[in-house]
This record gives sequence, structure tokens and C-alpha cells, in this order.
Amino acid sequence: MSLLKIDRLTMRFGGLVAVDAVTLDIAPNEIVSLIGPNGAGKTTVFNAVTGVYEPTAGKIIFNGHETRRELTGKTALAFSLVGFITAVVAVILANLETVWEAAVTGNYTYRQPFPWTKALASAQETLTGHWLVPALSGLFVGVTGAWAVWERSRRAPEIAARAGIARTFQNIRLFNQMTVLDNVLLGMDTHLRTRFWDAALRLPLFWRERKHSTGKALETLRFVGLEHEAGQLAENLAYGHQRRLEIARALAMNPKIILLDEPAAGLNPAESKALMDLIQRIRQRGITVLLIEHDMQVVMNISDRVIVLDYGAKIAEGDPATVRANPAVIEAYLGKSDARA
Amino acid sequence: MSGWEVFLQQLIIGLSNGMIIALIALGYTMVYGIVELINFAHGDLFMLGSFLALTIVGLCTALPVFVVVLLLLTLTPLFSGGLNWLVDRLAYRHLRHSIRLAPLVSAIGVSFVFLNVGLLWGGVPMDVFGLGKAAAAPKDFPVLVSNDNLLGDATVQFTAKDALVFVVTIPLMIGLTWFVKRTRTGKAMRAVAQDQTAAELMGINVDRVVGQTFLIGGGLAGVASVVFALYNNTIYFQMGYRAGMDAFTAAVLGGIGSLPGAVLGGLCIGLARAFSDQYIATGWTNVIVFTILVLVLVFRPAGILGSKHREKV
Repeated sequence: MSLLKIDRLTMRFGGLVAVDAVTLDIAPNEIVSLIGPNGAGKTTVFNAVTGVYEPTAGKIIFNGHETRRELTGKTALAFSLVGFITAVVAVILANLETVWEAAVTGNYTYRQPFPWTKALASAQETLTGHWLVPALSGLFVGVTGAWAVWERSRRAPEIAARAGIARTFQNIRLFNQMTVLDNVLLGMDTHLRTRFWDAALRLPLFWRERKHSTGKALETLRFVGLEHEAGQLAENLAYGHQRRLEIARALAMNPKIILLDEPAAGLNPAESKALMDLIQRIRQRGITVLLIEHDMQVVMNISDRVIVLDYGAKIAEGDPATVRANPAVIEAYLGKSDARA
Repeated sequence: MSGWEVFLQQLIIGLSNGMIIALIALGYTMVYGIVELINFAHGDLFMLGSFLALTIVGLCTALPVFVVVLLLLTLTPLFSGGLNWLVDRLAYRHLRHSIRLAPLVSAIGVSFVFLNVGLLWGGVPMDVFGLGKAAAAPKDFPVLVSNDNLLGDATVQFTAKDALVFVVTIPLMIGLTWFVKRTRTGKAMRAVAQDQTAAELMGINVDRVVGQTFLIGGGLAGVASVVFALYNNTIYFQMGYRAGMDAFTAAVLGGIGSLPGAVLGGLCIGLARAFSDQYIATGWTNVIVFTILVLVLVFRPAGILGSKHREKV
């Protein structure tokens, strides 16, 4: 069974087709590289998978489900509440003139306390006739409106993250004004249960969870080799360390798959060698790795499989050696040779 | 009153008013920090809070004073915090991904709605709404906290009212700092303020965090409205404009987005007002306050404590 299945994903921005019917299948515990020339749509695929973009067409199935917000009883209750309020408003609007006359004008005396109960009674009296149609249509409009608003918010990055998709960014996006440790703790946030009162009153849960989460965060930092920088502000780290911190923060989310967007960009040869080692160790933890990378050394060395995108379409897929020999790939990277034409 | 006593007196007045301004400024700065929206309705939210406070006082005339004050300090922040949350939910949230100007215009609209609710509320015939029967007239707020000098026979006045301002606001500010620095929600707020998309991808529910920010900012405005009403003993439906203007200036002066900046800015404005009233002339006070603002913005555009790091790329 595949862990992540992208089925004919299409992303269109105005007239530009950034991703064109791309189908991918990623098995658990694989290391897959997504390569292609600049502007081939690789990062767009990442953005669609993590819920930053809503796909124009196509499906993204993660772990057997689409990564969308679940419809819970609470949400359904909220829909009915909105529907009920809209119905009441609709009934009032439909009878506005008569109700206003009976309830407000009829009871209003200058500078006297307004008799709310009497006004309510008068309003009810006048409402006896004409109410079923506006009530039903108001209910319908309210429920569908609330549902439509909710439907739009169903695919959110937050939902993908909670489902177990973690990612890093092409241009590093750390929480710069926070310490290294706090960055990693934020990655863990969804797994924490401490609430305001636990922290304010220092209840047992607060101590237990703080000890546990700090320990885990330090362990994750040790895993990427940043345990000595825990107290530093993220912005003061060296560039290579910031890249590692992004990975640590993503790992702290306890994901099933981690998407790395050009993790080797700007690293020197020694650092990218260490990165390759780190990616292997991430896989050994049972986490699937999908990466975008331009450094062919890295791609060819660690990938189980390589997928090539060009102009938003998939042009090749297979193990590193096959892909390297594929003429279509060479053409995409180097252009058509004039000699052969 | 000798020269230094006058100075000391104005210092106390300036600090008290400054603390109230700072509380309102915190609401501006928190909301700006997290969604980069200048919430123009914040001043009017503050005004509605004080009208609720007056209504509560009117309903609870039978209770002892300290119970009423406690009631005011719990119910009013709940009301204005909840109202601020609701406004975000209804008027700002859906506009978060549209152009920057859209929520701003929405905020101005909300401000007008609040203003007119205040006008209507002021017109409700109730015994406590003394001083002028017209809806727009200023209302008397009963003197619940005494005006007696705590310093005994000294010429410098430090009244129970001044003490109330400090006793309420200082712990609140310390608590807020602790909340933002140490708790999970506070950390999530800082994360969302620094990089919303990255925070979302960490599984943080951005809408909820923004809602909580509005709730807390509104709550602070609620406390400020109670303290203001108890301190000045008169409220009117247009006071949100003046208070909002001062608080907004304070937030910008201190560095918008920075919590200590808002407090510092509030104190600066409060002191500048008091000293200008005393040593120059009341008529010049606004000129001086806004000249300070212009000067700070020219020479330090990010404000006194604002950092350049906040710029988003």
C-alpha cells in the first residue's frame, strides 16, 4: 500500500499550468527525489500536498485518506445553529413592517424603559401568519452557507500537518526570534496537552509534560547534531545549522513523511555529505522522505527512486541510474543538441 | 505647592493615565503583531466596555463597593474580549487572504457600528445615567473608589484611584508577558506572528490563535475601560476615538508589534500629556504629543523598541 498517492494533480494559476496531471505513488519508508529544471512545478507539488494550495484538479490521498478536515458533531451543530439564526432573521425580515409596528412603535414611549417582554409578546402575535416559507428558506441558506464556508477551509496546512506530513522550506522559515529549543517545541505543539490553567497553576500535567517534551526536543536536536545550540536564538545560527534546525522542527512533529525542499542548497561538500547521512538516519526511524534537490550528488546517492518534472508534467520516473540515462531527462536539463537535429 | 511637588503630582497623574493608555495600546499592538491589521474598532470597543461597566453599576447598587469593582473587573473584560473575538470571526477572518485594505475598511465599519451602539446605549433611560438626559451627553460614573489622599496630609495627592490603576495594570502586564513568553498559546502566537504559513505547517490552528489574540486584546481593553471609568468618573460615547488615538500613537511610538513597546509608549504619552498640561498649556498638549510621534517616526521609523527583524520578506 502506498503512503502518499497523488492522483492526476493539476495546479493552475490563471492561465499558467504549474502542475499538469502529475501522478505519484510513494511507498512507506522510501526515499524519493523530485527533480527538474527551475520552474518545473516541484515546490508547487509540495504546497499542494501540505495543503498550502487547493488543487485545481486531482486528489491527494495520504495514508488512505484525503487530508481534509473531518466533519464532527460539533461542526454539524454549528451549521444548525447558523441555520436557525438565519431562519429567525429571515422570518423577522419577511414580516419586518408589521412586527416593527406591533412590537416597537406600539410599545415605544419617549424616555420610558422599553418593555421588552411586552414587545416580544406583540411580535409573536403578529408572526402567526406568514412564517413557514421564510423560515425554511432561511434555514436552507444558513446551513448551506455555513457548510460552504467550512468546505473552503477543509484543506488547510494545519490538517495536513496533524495527519503526519512535515516539511522544510526552500528559503529557510524558522521562528527567528525564538530559541532553537522553542522552535523544536513548536513542532511538537499538536502533541501537547498542557492548557493555560495547567501552566498558570503549575498542575502535575504541566511538570510532567514539560519534562517529557523538553527531553524529546533535546533528543531530536541531538539527532541532527544541534544539542549545544539549544539556548541560542534561531536567527543567530550558522546557515547550515538553520537547515538542520528546520529538519529537527519537522521531525518533532512525529511525522510519517517528511518533505525536504532543497535541503542541500548552500551547503558545502562536507555539510551535504553529513546531510545525506542524516537523511538515511531519518529513514531508519521509519519516516518516509520526499525531497526536492538540485545537487545531483545527493540525489543519485541516497534516492531509491527519482521522479523528473518538466513544465509541470512528469517526464521520467525510476531508479537513479535509469533516470540519469533517460534522453528526455538529459534534454530537459541541457536542451536539445543542435548536432543531432 | 512647591515646584518639585507639582512635578511629583504631574508624574503620578501622567503615570496613571499612561498605564490606562498602555492597556489599550497592548490590544492594538497584539493584533497588529499577529495579523498586521490596525484594528480601528479597538477604541470604540473600549468605550462599549465602559458603558457595560456603568450598566453593571446601575444594576448592582445594592452590593458593597469592592464586590461591584470585582464584578466590573471580571464581567467587562469577558464582554469586550468576547465581542472582539466575535468581530474577528464575523468581520475580519474571511478577509484575511484578500488585499490588506479590506480588513482595514471592515475595521472602520465596525468602529462606526460600535460608536452608534454606544450612542443608543447612552440613550437608554436608566437611573445611573446621570448628567444630561440626551443620549450623546457625557454620563456620570459613580465614585466607587475614594478620592482621599493615601499620603495623609501631604500636598502631593496619591489617591486610592491612582493605587487602583497600578494594582490592576502592573500585575496584568506581568501576567501578559509571562503568558506570551511561557505558555503554549503564547508561543503559538509568537510563531504565527513571525511566520504564519510555517506555523500552520507545524499543525498550529492559525484561526484559533488569532481568535485568542483578539480575545485577550479585547479583554485588556475591557479592564482599561473599567479602570478609566473608575479613575475619571465620566464616560461618553465618543471617548473611544480620543482613547484609541492616544493608544494607537503609543503603540506606534513604542514600536508596533512589541508588547514592552506599547507599555513604554503608553507611559510616554501619559507623561507628555501631564507635563504639557502643567508646564505649557492644555491647548498645546495634542500638538506636543503628535510632534513627539512625528519626530520618533522620522528618526526611528520602527518605534522606540521596535526591531527591524519584524519586516516580512
